[in-house]
Amino acid sequence: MAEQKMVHPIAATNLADILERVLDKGIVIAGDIRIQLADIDLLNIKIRLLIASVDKAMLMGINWWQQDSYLSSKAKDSELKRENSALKKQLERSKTKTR
Amino acid sequence: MKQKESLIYLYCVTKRKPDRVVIDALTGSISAPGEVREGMPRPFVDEVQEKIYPIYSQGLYAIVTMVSPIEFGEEGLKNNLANMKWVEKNVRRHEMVVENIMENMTVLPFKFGTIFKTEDGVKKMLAERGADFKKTIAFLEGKGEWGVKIYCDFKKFAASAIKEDKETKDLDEEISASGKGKAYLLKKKQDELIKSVVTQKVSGYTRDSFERLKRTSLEAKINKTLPKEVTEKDEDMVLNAAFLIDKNRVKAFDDVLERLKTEYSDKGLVFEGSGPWPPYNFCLPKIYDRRRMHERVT
Repeated sequence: MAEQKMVHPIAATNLADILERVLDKGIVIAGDIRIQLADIDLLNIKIRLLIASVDKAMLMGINWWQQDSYLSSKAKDSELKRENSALKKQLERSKTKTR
Repeated sequence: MKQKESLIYLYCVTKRKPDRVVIDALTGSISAPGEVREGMPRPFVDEVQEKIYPIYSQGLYAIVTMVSPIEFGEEGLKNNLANMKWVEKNVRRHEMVVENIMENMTVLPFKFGTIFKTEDGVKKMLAERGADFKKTIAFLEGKGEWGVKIYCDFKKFAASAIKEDKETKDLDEEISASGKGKAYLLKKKQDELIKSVVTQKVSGYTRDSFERLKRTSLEAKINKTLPKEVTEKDEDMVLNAAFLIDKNRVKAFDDVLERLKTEYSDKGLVFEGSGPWPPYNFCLPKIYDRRRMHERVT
């Protein structure tokens, strides 16, 4: 079997690897010209898929990492929602008490 | 017509001054007259000298280049983003510049298309965000980002999963012993069963792989899996992970990856490692928030 070693980024023939990082990651600041990739109508189909595609693995049910807030921002969101609704309930209760 | 002023494109921020030789070599490699393809914007070397240079402020260097307002102005950029050839050329260039700088020092890579009108705009940004940047650079010192993607040929995987699964095998016998109507229903049942067996196994294997790789890392992140249209591969991506690895631990990380490749290759999983990358996945302050949150929860 041919030994497959680490691919060095510059040598990476797989453009997806580079696109994914350069277009979707890295430090985001408000420069003088702002481009919101998601809002551009003309956007190339490949880039659109890259930033907004449905997650195939998740559709298959391979989603074990979704529960981990450390790994997944979605899990973090739902954690925040839970926290939020718990706080709201608490607030409601204290309101009732003071009445 | 009055020529518009050139814009400033920001690649990355560093704490140390990049070597003049590196900078000049990079300038040479990006301003080399490239071929002009149909539908591709003409090179703008005549109008704007695409020279790469550092802008110093607040103890930080912003590595920038001047770009044409026609190509990188708001309208031009929107149009160019529809052109995959233009995107590929410029995204590769972004990566090449950041990687070359990274060879000698820690970098904070910026997202593609971070553009300023003036050098003062860059300096102002460094003044506002400099403290954060310095903290992040200090944290990233001596570390590198590595990527691991796992792909799965679901057909092949299902075929081998059936062989190992008693319940589906039993169904096989029942199907061949049944009449048409019943066989159809049983087959449907079997398909569902296979699907759940495959999902369960792929989840187990990818989780195991991730956990083992994670042990050699300082930070680990799971990104969205990318569709075939983007990866241009025959297999489906089932894990897309990034790891922040201490330079002294790269060998250990690589060893784990090699072991996983051997263990899982006959199970139908394909591993692809890449790096070191500029720390695109580990340069956002929210990483720290998330870690703090995690520590609080556990």
